[in-house]
Amino acid sequence: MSAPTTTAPPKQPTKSDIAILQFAHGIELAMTALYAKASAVAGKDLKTVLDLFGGHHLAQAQSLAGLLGRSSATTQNASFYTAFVIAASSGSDTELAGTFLSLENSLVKTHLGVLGIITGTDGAQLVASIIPVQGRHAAVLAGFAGKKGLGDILDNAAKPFDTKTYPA
Amino acid sequence: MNSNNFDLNSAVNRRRFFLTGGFAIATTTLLAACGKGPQSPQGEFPRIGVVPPTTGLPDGAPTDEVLLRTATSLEFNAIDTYKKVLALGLFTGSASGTAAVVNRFKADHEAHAKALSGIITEAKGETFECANEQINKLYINPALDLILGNKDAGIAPSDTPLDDVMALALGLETLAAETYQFYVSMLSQPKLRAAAMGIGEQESRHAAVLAQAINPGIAGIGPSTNKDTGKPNPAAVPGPFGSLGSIAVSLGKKSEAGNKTTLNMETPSLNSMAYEYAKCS
Repeated sequence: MSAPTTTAPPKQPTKSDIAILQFAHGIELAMTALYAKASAVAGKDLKTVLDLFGGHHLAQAQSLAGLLGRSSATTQNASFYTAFVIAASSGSDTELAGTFLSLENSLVKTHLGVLGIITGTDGAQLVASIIPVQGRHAAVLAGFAGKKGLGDILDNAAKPFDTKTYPA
Repeated sequence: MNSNNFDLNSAVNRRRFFLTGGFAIATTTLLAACGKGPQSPQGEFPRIGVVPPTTGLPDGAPTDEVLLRTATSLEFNAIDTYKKVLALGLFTGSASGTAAVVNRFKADHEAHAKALSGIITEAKGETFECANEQINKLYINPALDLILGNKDAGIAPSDTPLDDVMALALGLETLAAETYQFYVSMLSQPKLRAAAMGIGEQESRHAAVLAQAINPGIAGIGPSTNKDTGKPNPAAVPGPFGSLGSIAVSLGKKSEAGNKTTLNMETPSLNSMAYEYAKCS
């Protein structure tokens, strides 16, 4: 294996890290709003789950804001919110859960993409602590979406969200 | 002159003779003990008996290669444990469906180990394709003793082996997920961090599935506390961020007070890593 680098990676987010983390922050804020929309129309059991997971996304958005400080996104990613708000606020519980299962799977891939680019260790640690939770969200939502096969719960073939499709 | 034939006013009398002579003997003995000689080779403290020579371990640093080797070793810990668990024949009757889950998890860990070895090989490193001895010694062997019993150690077998196997599996999957998350802060290259967390995220899904199997339904999704024991119940999503804390796993035959033995698992640290000099035995 190549010789270990003698230069420690930066702790704080670099300039290029900030732009990437701002995108992630805007998406997390939009996810919080989408979960709130869905909670208003969901049945009792699913509402409990959506409220819990929406709270997690809010906490994750707040932590990203804390990391970015003045550079944090000031509003949710509007194009992302607009793209999913109808699907997130209508349909049966199974359909709602399916929508959020898909969103969570894509969000996992998005954050993995972020982790593969940013160099600052503070940002990397935070994103790394978010990814497994969103994977767990997906595993739970799969059950509510009527997916009973292990592959439906464990496999993630979703594509990540990108800044071209969802500009801030 | 007195009866001792010494003059009391003389510089040499009997008392002074003993004082001076005693001091000389003591000083000579001390110097002999501290001095260099056949009994005290240069640079060594005097010893009684034979002390075997010791050889220190080579220097090891937690490089990217070492972290990935250690992660691979943890995958083999999981593979080996699942193999042992499947061989116990516990998954029968209503638990027969669990065997399919365990087999899928085992296959996932095999795929993870292969992926990690591929990354190490691509970077011209040396793979480490066996279980982590320290993890076996500290956590897995004691856990299996508590489940299956160990006559030599005076440990009775568990009265709920299937429940305990599930609890152990949940502990191991959580340990693996935490390890990848922890190593992100130590890996130097972003692409390696992403590769590690891609695997860690799958371990988290395993943990969520197991938590739901142990504590099913809505009540088992978020965090909750067992009213009888006061300990946290297994939860599919315990919190908004992945934890790096120790993982408590309760196993074995219940005591008279109704408690099981608790094992606290922690992510492999500097004393448990698969350093470059470590070889699979």
